[in-house]
Amino acid sequence: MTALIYALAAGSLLLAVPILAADVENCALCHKYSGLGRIDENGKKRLYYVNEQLYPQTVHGKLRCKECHADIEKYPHVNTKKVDCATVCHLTDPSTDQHFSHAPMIEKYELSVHGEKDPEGKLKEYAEDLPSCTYCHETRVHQPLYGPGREGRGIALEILDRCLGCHQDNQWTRAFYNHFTDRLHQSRTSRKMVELCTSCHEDEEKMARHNLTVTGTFHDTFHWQSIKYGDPNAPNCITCHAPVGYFSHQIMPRSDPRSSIHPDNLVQTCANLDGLQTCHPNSTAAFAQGKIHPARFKTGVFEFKMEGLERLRKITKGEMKPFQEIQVQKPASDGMSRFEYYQQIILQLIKYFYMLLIGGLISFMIIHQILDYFATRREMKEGETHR
Amino acid sequence: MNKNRESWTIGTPESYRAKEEVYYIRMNLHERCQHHLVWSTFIILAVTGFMVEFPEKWLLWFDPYRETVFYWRGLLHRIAAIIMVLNIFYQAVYLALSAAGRSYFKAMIPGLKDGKDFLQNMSYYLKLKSDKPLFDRFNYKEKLEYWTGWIGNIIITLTGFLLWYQEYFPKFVFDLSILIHTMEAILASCAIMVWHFYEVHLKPGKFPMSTIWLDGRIPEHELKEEHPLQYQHIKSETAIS
Repeated sequence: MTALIYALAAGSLLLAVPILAADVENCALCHKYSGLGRIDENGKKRLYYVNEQLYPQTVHGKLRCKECHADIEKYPHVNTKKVDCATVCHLTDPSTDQHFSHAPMIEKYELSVHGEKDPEGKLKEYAEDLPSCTYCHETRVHQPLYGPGREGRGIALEILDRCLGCHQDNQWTRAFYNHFTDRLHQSRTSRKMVELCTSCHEDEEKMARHNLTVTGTFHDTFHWQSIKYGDPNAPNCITCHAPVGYFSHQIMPRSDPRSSIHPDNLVQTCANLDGLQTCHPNSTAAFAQGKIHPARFKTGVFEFKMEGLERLRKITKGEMKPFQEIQVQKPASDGMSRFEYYQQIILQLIKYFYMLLIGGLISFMIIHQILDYFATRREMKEGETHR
Repeated sequence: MNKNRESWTIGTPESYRAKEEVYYIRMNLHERCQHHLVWSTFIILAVTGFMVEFPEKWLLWFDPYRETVFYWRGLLHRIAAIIMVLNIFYQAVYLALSAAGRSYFKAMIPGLKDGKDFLQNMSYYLKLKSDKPLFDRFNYKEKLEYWTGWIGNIIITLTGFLLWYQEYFPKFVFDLSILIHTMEAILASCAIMVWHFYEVHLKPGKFPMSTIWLDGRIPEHELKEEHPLQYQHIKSETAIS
């Protein structure tokens, strides 16, 4: 019964949200039509539709359109520029009483490995490959969290009621609650996070342009297996590359001492003592080293299903020598020490040894048993005729 | 006892029903217990272990309990592993301390005869020779299975514990362990399915299964046929006494 009351209350609250509350410029007059769009000069589909029900639920739902689309002056809109996330908006940040802007975040981000400019301020090579704000921050509605006790997605009305006791503007309080609890959790699931990062980091061409190697074997690790099963303790990319004390907008290259995967910081990162997840609390310097998801050196077992066939095809065509991948990688590249290189070769050799052993022994057994089958059948027939 | 047996065996050969059929003990209570512990833990370990390697499509079976399944997978794997390791010690103590165990161990030691038996058996299979080799208590197939079982068990236990306590060892040890553990598991599972399941389940005359693992008894005619040397040995011993 209480659940029903809550559901009804939630429904009525949803209906109470006015459509495009902040639309004083009346942009919705045109933009509320779902067919509004065109195919631009490059043949790309552009959609200019704004969903009136969803938009007020989004992070920027309280902003006027012109806060971000600042250069739009007249109709039809000509020479419009891309929205700059560093724009100063007219909202006042209550913590500083200043106009709010994402600029400080972008400044930090620009210094990270993903930033477009190098420390001297010059544009990096192939800067167009690097992710801009919207590459990761897709427009999305708030994903608020249930309050204490039962964790989950959604609005805990009993908590919202407490806020409403003092903050009497229903819409503002609701938006604040949404915003606050949305930021309390990672709204992307681990699986989506891996998808996002690997959309670039498994692209061999793109990585080669930036002198990087692809994350070849993350899908072979136990880390991924636990993500696959939806284990809440499973680590995604961010868990290790931006753990507690680090920041996802400030990911640094491995050689930088400010990076969570710099050799000096690895023990702390693997231990993850301050994190929400229990990782490897007893990790030692010997454990926290080496490559977690190296390219090329696949030691995973079931990867040979398709790739093995592909390799076989290449070998028969003469494009590739058997056992080629053992020699292919030079120890100097990929920041791999000689020691690590030989370790990888040992792993490869053991893998081949086992594959030969399994293939050989099981084939022997199958042949042996087939022969035994025919011999036994023969014996049984002879037995019958003797009788 | 015999009557009882008739009620649940399907298609029992004539000789089984004969009242005068003599049975010999092939697996005593200890050995049967050890076997039960091995097969039950092996199945749990294989299933929960290979679950890690399942393709994503198969995981849809577990929805919406994936998370719970994953938790129990890990726990069950460890519990079964501990039971299996304790069973190894049980077997070792049994082999060392009891008279039956010592004779079992002695009969299991591989020798030159096993090589000869293998060659002769192969020629028999290929109709090059008309006589089957005369096997003793354990033939070369059983010895191969038993000793590869021991080796595999030790390897997989060692690497398993290294994986369990991975944090105390260098990462290379972890990489090695996870590779060997998985490969050994594939080898063991395939070997069991081809070698053992054929021998005791699928072989003509054995289907659906040999019942030695349940009651430990082997009928005289089967002993005479499959382990003639042991049969002769038993006969001569009883004749002397």
